[in-house]
Amino acid sequence: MDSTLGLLVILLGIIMICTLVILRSVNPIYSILNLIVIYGCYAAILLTVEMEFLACIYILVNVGAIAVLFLFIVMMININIVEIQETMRKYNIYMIVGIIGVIGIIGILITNYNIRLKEEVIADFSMFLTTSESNQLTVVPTYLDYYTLFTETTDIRTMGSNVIYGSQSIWFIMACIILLIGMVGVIYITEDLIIEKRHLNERRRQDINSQVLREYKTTIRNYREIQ
Amino acid sequence: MMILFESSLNMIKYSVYIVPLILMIILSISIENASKKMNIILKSMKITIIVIGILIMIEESTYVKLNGHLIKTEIIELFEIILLGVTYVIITIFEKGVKEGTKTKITEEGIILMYSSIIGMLISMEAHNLITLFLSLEISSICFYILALNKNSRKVSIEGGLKYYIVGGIASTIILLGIVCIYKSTGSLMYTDIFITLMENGKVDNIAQMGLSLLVLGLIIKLGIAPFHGWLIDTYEGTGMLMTYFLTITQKIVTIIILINLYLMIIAYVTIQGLNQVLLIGIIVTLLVGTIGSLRQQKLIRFIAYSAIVNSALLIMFFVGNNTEELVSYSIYYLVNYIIGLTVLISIIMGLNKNREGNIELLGELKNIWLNNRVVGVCFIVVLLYLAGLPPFTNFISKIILILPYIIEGRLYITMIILFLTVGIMIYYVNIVKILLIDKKQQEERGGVQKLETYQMKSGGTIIIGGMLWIVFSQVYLDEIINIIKIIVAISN
Repeated sequence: MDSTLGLLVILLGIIMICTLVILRSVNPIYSILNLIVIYGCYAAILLTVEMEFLACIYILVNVGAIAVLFLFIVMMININIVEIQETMRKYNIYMIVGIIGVIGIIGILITNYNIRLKEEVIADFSMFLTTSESNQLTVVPTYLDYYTLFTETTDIRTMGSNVIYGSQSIWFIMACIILLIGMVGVIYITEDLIIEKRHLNERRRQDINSQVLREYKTTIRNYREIQ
Repeated sequence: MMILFESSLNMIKYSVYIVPLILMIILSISIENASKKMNIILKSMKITIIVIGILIMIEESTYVKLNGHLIKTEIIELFEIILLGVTYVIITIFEKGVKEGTKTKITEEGIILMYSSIIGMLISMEAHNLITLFLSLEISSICFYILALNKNSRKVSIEGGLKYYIVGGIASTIILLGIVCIYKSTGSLMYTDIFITLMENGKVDNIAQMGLSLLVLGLIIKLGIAPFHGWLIDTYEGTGMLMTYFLTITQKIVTIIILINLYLMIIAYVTIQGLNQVLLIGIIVTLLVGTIGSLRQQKLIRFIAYSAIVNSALLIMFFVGNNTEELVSYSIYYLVNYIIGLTVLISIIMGLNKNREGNIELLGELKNIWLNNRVVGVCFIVVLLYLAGLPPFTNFISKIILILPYIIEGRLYITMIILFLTVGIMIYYVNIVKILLIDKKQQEERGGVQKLETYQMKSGGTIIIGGMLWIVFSQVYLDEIINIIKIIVAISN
């Protein structure tokens, strides 16, 4: 119990630091990297309460989809890439933080699932030890317990049968409605912007040819010549 | 017999909630003609509101359903019907605006969002489980964040919407923290289970007290009680007049019924001294801020926002008192009166067209009402005095029966402070009457005033007449109305 509590404190500390960095950083790439670290920490916290399925989903959805989407948007936004390449060394810090997170996850896995490091090691080395404690180690015969096989359920099964599709199905429906509101709301907010743009473009109409032929170098050169 | 068909009835009920939502989305995509589309969506919204109202009336009350997630009592039924009626009125005003022109700007997505917020509110009223309560509150509040963005006045509305989003997010996290605390100490999420475990333990431990007070705090931030009132005024300034009306009244109805549910089921039996004191201080500070802040306002919408804050402070007075059922029924009576007064006020303001597109925004423009349209001017003054609580009107009685029980409890000083502050509230309502009558006369003496033809009523006649009839005839049947509400509260407890 104490070991998981310590891990929780460490993970929460990492999350706090990362949120502070997100709030203070100007560069969006910093904040995305911090977000990824935070998602990893959340997944680790979920692992401590034995919710493997939720942790997996968390990493898959947030890191796999949302963070990549953020990176995609950052690529589209005009950022001076040369400057970023020069300051790439700053990102080494996040590697260290990420390593700490990975170590944390491994620690949780070891503590939670009783990967039999301790006992086997003691059993292997017991012949060399001459203390009285080693003699007290008794061999317990392990039978296949059918009762536990019947009763034990996986994480997904409990969530599906008891929570989402079972007695608590109203939560699932309401979560679905929230998602739908999110989609409709995005349309509602951005609709006006789209209409305004169309109004602007009525006079100077879109010329696709010139847009395709437009190049980064030529436009910049022209600008410099004017100056 | 009822038990056999209970699940199927619930199925019908939830399909009534969700099927119109899907239909509206399909309609908004499929119909090409814009005016036709708006018309059909508005009509379908009206029909669904009526159908939901009929289903709520038919349904057997006082039972727990859906594995104890929802509960149905008489008070909840009353509040649901009030909410549906208010939304019906708002939809009719929107429909008129759409027919006339672009005065009340709303798109079909806005109506879909309004409908889904109503779903959330109906579920949160009936909620008997804390997680269900949280999720349904989230549905309605996410819709409100989006609806608070009015596109006519961009900069102000974006600022207000962002403020609303941030403060609402903080409030819902506080509510979630409270739920976690309650779950930790009692090990259950159902209201009745929480009550039973708290009673069996005999003494309420600190974590449960903290959880309950955090829940109340989160709900109060959403209402806009004094230390957390700044966001509300900016938000309402950014949204339009009609959306302000929708947001204020629905938010008040929902939050107060949730607080009443919590109070009657759990908190009335658990005395939390600190929470009571903090709430009392909050109420007094809110009344002070509301009276002082609204004196120097120039915009009408900010005035309405301040009056909303003051009224929400008076509405949560029942939380502090000792005699539970009586105060709850009085605050319900006050809420009904406030809703009717505000409806008439808003429909007068929306009905008067300053020019083709805009309606009255500044307080100074109210001067023109009296000269151009005497009848509407009289109605306006009567409604203002009614909202202020001048003695011939019933709102005076609804205010004084909320305040006077505190004398019986022996809290003389607090009662006196609140009574003085209600006089302060009277001042700023009467200030508008002064602008309406005296300022105009002075201007008339200085120079001639041309009669403007544009300040004439275009719509909202039936609502105004109905409201005036309520103001007059509710005095005759005062005891009966209060007794009916008392009976409803007594049955459902």
